[in-house]
Amino acid sequence: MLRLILRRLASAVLVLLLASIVIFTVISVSGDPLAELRDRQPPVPESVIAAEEARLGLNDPLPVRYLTWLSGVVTGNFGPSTIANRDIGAELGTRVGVTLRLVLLAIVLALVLSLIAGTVSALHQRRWPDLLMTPAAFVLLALPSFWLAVLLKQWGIGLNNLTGYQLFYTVGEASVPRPEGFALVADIGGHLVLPTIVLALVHFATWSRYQRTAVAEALAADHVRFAVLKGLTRRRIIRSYVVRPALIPIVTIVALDLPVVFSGAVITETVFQWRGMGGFLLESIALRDTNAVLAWLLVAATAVVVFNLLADILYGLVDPRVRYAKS
Amino acid sequence: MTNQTHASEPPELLRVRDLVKHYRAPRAAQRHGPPIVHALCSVSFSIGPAQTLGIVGESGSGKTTLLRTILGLQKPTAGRVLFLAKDASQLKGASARALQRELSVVFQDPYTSLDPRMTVADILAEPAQIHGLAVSSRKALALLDQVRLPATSLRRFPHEFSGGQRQRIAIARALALDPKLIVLDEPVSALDVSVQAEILKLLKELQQARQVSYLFVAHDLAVVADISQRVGVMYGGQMVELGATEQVIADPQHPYTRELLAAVPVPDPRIERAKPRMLQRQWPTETDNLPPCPHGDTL
Amino acid sequence: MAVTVRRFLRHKVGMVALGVLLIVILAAIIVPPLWPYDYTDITPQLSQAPSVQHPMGTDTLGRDLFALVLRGMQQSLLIAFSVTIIACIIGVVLGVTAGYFGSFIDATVMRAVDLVLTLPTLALAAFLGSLVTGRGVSWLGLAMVLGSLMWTSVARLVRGVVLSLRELAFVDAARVMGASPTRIMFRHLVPNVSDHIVVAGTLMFGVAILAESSLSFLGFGVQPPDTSLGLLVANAQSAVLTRPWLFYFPGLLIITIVLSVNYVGEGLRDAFNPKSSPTNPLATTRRRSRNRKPQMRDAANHAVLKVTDLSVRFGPLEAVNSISLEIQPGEVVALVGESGSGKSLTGLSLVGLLPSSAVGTGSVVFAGEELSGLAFEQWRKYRGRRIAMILQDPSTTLNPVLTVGAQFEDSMKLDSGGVSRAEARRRAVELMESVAIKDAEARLDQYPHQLSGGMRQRIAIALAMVHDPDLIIADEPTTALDVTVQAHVMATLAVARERTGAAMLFITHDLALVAGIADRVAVMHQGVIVEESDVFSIFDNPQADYTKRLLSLAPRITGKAVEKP
Repeated sequence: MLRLILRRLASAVLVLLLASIVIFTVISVSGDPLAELRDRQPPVPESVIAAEEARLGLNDPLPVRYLTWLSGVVTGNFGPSTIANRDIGAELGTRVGVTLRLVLLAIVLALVLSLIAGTVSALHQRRWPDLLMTPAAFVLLALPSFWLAVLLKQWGIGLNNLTGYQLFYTVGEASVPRPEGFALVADIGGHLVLPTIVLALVHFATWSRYQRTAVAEALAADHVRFAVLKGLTRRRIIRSYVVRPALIPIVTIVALDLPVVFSGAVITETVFQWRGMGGFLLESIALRDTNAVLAWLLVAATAVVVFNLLADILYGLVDPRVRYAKS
Repeated sequence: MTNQTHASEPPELLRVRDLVKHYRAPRAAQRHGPPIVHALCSVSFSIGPAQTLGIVGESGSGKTTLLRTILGLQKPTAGRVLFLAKDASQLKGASARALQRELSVVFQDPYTSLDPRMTVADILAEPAQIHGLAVSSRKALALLDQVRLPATSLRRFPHEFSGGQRQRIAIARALALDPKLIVLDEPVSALDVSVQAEILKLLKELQQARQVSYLFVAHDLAVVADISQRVGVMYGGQMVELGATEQVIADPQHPYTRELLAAVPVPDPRIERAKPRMLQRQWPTETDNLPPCPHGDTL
Repeated sequence: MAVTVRRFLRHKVGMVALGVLLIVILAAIIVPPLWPYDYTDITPQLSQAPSVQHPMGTDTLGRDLFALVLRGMQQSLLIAFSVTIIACIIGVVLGVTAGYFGSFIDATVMRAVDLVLTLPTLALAAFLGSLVTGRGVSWLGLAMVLGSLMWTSVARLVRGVVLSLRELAFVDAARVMGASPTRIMFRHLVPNVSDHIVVAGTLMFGVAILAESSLSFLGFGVQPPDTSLGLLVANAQSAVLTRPWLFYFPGLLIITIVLSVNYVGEGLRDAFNPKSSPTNPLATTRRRSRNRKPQMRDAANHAVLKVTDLSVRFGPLEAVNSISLEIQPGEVVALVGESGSGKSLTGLSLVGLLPSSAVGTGSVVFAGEELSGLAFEQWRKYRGRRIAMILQDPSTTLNPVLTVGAQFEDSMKLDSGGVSRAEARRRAVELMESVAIKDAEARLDQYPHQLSGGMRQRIAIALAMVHDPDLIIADEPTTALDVTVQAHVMATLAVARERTGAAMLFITHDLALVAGIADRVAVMHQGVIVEESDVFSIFDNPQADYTKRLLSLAPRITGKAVEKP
């Protein structure tokens, strides 16, 4: 098992390194951080542009720039920003935590719900829980997350206005000024409610469908028939012969979907005006702050790789075939 | 160890010489066993014209590897396959194609060996198309006739046929370019007994009529013995026995052949009930009583 | 192909969804030139609720929302369509190449896929989208950005399908014929993945619409003064409560389009690959024996199993036709038949596990008790304890994620309480040793994938022995095994039968195989038992033509081969 983890760790680092090369190349080749400066009217003096180019290190060849950037990244320096006095690393650092708590909570919620719903649905195929759940999942699949987010936010506001109480927090990731102690936890929790629902629902739709398929397939497997013939209780069969083997595909799907969760988080945060990674990304794109975009992508990729690593380990725990074949 | 028959050796159609195929074992397996798996260990034999050589072996005996190597689907680690005295792997272009025309194959599973998206006419025309030869429906009809399928089959798709009928289509396709050797990979093991018998009969008739040779590979000794003049028995990547069918069956030399013979069920309750009960392999199961494989430690 | 189309035409939800989708697409193409307002026209009616003149109302600038929505649909559909085409082309080419050639090419393509999958595509698309749209490159640029980020799912799917197709014999057959890789890829592989591509492409169209509108919503997709559905929603964000039409009409339209696309995709999937009715061996009730007669306990009859007039029907098709069969205690009865004879269905109906699309009628009496129509919990009194069954394929009958020991334990602890862990292990070892499994102790901690096929089947037999059943049903227990292993498993079965004293129903296609084990043989053909008698009569003096045919056709070794000239 330890061997498996170490090997996966090594390959994770490699993937991350490759990803950084791709990200750097794509962003550097396509985006000109000084485009806005060059287009300014009246024209900015050549010397100013040249100075800015030198400050951002744009005159070096691409591989050199990559290495400079990478060596900076390793020490926590994500390179100069187009905006004066912006410390990319520090700013992103404060925002990662905000986004991670949304992402993690949504993943856990969506995963638990889809495991239950998908399993129940598959166990009652073509009967009422399934006949109810399947169309519901289809509608959820078709819901644009931004639309759902706006809808819930505005309904929350409407409900607040109607009742005269602050039932839902609809703006930001915490109140300003921040409360202290336990009140802060409650406050943060309250702000999490609506965004988490949005993000979780969108993925619940996909994952519950996959879980339904996986359980339906497991149900049709010979080893379930054999377990029935052995005379085991329904509970035991469902737990160890149906659901456990069906966990293997869902772990893979969730791992594959992680970048999509991050994308969803960007949208959700934007709607609810969080000061998380989403807002940082959109600001940076709008301001052509390429180093900031780079840093954002790298952090997101790292998160995805780490999650994938966890999924791999989980995979090994769930499936003895993986554990024995690769360790 | 092998009782060679010399009666039908020359002129040779196919000669397999010291064929060796090694695989590197998966890392997990290497800790418990040898780092190299011998799929084929110095296998040699030959087939003459209009002759059938049967090869029996269980799963993992190397018979599939042998067959794929002869068909050129895999490269051997060492040794040579000489077909019509030429080594196909050394040939290129027109001469390679010419050699290809003389060799064809029928696979085990009639449900996967025909492209489900092609009509029978397309399937039968494909060999000629690949070799840039004229395609005619008269030829296709003649082929169908030879395997006793109606002319109306041409425009239908494989899924419209039964397993036995599909195997007939596969045989017709194998005959399309009039080859000298047809490799048959478990051609009847997926079929019902009654259908098996029909296909075996058809194969024998075709051999009579067209003087084609067969390399017939199967796990069922009874089926192999039914169609082959000579039989080779494979075990653990080696040809542990090779000789005339009657001789191998009447006087098996290798313990595996003896076990195989004893294991084949006989449709007679008195014989079956008299057999000793075999709960497990009666002789050392590992390959350690086989001669060591040459080139064993090199890859 | 024609079959697929017919199946899709019968798919109600799919057809409705296709209808809706066609209406939307046609509306987006035909209506704008006919509509009195252009999406750029500014009218004096600001922020009007829907009316006859403006069916969807107007926005804050006085533009007709219906005209705007039509324009938005045009943009969304056009972009999504291009994205789908681009992504499918890249995905299919890379997927087929990687899957067919394997090794280095495959590794490279898959690493590329992994890389793209590591990146949140929306973020990258937003960045690149801001560049292309910023320079006025419009929809095509946007489509290319999204397409170049969305091909991975198609590539993965196609590669997976090609990898499994490549193992199929028709590809090998083409290679042996001398077909070039190009020919194999385009003549054989692509046509065979086409149905997967059609389904994946359809679903991707929906995803592309969502992606484009998300991007436009964030402000990095379609730029004003042009518009798209996502942009319209973005503009209406704060108007949900005050001018709801601005928010709901474009939003619901996106939902309608994506929902229709997904249902069309689902319909296509079902049409290409018709689902059999769901298999659920855990279902509480089974449709069974409507004309069930109460069975009188027959004092004179001590049969362990008495089957009367058992029939199994799939719709109009009669797979098993009113068969009757009796098994006395300790007796071994063989049920022999070729594929399609109904022998396996007979075995399954004896244990109440017919597929849900099948209807069984007739009576099955086990030790004087009627079994047909039992509920799951009632069945548990018999299954495992008094009736054990061994299935055909030992590679799939054991649970892949539980150790052998755990599976024995499960069998021994049918009720809460029961035996202790140590006791369970001790008995499991004893049972395994009784069927000549070596190193039984060590096997307990192994998983099924670590064992050979013959070993797995012997463990399945040992599992069947746990409760000393009265009846063991063995359904083709050796078909998936080699001949020598078959002999070992047959010997194991004989031992198991002797130790438990159980009666046995042995189901097989191989008549010769039962000569050594059966007391009586029933030969089944096309759903009917054509002959039944004791084992010696069957082989010495077969009566039915079918039995004679089976006996004469089976290739055999003794005598004949030796006598050959």
